[in-house]
Amino acid sequence: MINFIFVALALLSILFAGLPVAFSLGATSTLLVGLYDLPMKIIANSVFSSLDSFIVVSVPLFVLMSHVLLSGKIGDDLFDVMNAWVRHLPGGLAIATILACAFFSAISGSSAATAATIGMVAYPAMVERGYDKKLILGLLAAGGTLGILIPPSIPLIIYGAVTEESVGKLFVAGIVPGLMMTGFLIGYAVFRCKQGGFAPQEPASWKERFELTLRNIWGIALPFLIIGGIYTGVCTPTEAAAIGLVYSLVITLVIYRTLQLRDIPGICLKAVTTSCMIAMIIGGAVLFGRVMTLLEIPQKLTEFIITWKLSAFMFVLVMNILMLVLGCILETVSIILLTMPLVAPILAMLNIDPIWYAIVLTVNMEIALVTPPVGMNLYVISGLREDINMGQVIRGVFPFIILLFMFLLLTMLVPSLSTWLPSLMQ
Amino acid sequence: MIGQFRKAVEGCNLILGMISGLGVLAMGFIILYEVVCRYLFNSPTIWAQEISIYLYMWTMLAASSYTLQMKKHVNVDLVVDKLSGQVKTVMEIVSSTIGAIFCAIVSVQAYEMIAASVHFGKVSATPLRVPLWIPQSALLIGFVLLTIQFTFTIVERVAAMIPQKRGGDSLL
Repeated sequence: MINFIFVALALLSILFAGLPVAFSLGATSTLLVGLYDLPMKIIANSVFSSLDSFIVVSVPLFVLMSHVLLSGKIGDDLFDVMNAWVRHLPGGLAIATILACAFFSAISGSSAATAATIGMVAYPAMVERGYDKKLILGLLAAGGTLGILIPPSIPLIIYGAVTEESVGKLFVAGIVPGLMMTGFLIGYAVFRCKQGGFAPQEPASWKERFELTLRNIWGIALPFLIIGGIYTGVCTPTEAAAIGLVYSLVITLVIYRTLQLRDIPGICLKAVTTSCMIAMIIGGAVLFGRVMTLLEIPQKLTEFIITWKLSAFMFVLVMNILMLVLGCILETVSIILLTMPLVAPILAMLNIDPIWYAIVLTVNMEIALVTPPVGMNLYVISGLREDINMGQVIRGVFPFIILLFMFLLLTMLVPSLSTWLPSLMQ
Repeated sequence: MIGQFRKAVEGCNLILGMISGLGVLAMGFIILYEVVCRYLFNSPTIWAQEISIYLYMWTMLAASSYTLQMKKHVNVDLVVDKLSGQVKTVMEIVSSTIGAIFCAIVSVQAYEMIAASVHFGKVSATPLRVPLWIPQSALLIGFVLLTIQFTFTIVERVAAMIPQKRGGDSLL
């Protein structure tokens, strides 16, 4: 236990000094290797072996794919399509915004990308129609978090890579909760808009709806292609990412011509920094995990937890509280990489389904994305336009945080929401 | 002098970043080719998966110093952002020094790893039998560049702390 506290303190002080997470993990591990006289060789070895995995190859592919779609303005078109279908309903634009977020989540693995893409088009449209500014901002920040729950999802890939769970199953597990969360958000938006007494817009004609949908059918088909391929077992998640990447290049370069060949190197360069950041954190975390294992910290922690005689539910509850705290300091990928080597053996001991836990953890991370001080989506949304300030975003997102908490509780109480669909896969 | 060296290294970072970006693209096409071969021609390749992993190693490591240069490696700035000028600079020097030491240690070990691989003629345990020094060199190059990048930050911050003498500001 003394070891554990010492390790935690060393890591936290290096982290707070401002060294990037990846190198903080590496440096703390190196310090421990020196202090406890562990074999030096494991340092470079662990970093190197962390890169030797086919499943994490999917990360740069999914990241590049969403950058291509982002630059190719596919998100804007998705919003237009959704808008044509629902704009005459009460709170129509809000519904369109959430649907577009959900759809973009299904072609991108990140929340920030989702919030930024849809926010760009939805915010001006909603302000123009007199929607409450705080509601819009909250909606966008919360809608963006669907990005990590609805597959593909970078955090779930990372979870699968550390726990050796099937990433395909994890992706599929996110579908039902993701759709339910979408429904929750829509329900709340409609409720709020009815109070505000918005005059609904003119309905779009069926002709307009079908024309818009048909024109954007290539973008709309992409999520079905990716998820369908993985669900039916036709391809692995990494292969699905490659297919999705080439497909998105074809539609933006050839079909819609929103991108030109000369834009591609710049997009690749932008995407590679994000992937590299994740790859380096994985490297640091794998090294850190190896050092902790050599110091027998996971085993001791597991034994320690067992003496508390916690029930599975209580343990997950305690973990959630801990994750909420961590979510105020670190971002999603680091949290998963840092905690899972410690938590996985305890999950096995308490007979907790790791797929269910993955979804609970992801929903928890969604909350982290919208809670100050470091909630990534808050920054993304407040950076959308000059006239938006952080205070407005935080006040706007508050009711959605409560909504997310209720949803977190639901996923904890009803595991079958997460486990039913993947159980149907072979 | 340092300025020129810095320019050279940053240019090198950018070029490696660019190549890495295109490398990820190539990875996508290689994996797609594998899927096409498997389903359309019923003859999966023996090399696609392995080569794409090596590409992944190379692209991620080669782009790492560019990522650091662009400040895209995510960090916890909760405390650092609240600090005032001088204290913040000291913190940056301390954290960059820790970073530089770590990266230097990995570089040295990577070099030893490669030396051992070359000496014993180690190859991958796959039908391709790729010499291991090829993927391992990525680790060396990536971390040497990271060490240099961290060192630049240290030199720059230290120089900023020393009161500027007339004519002395051409150092960087």
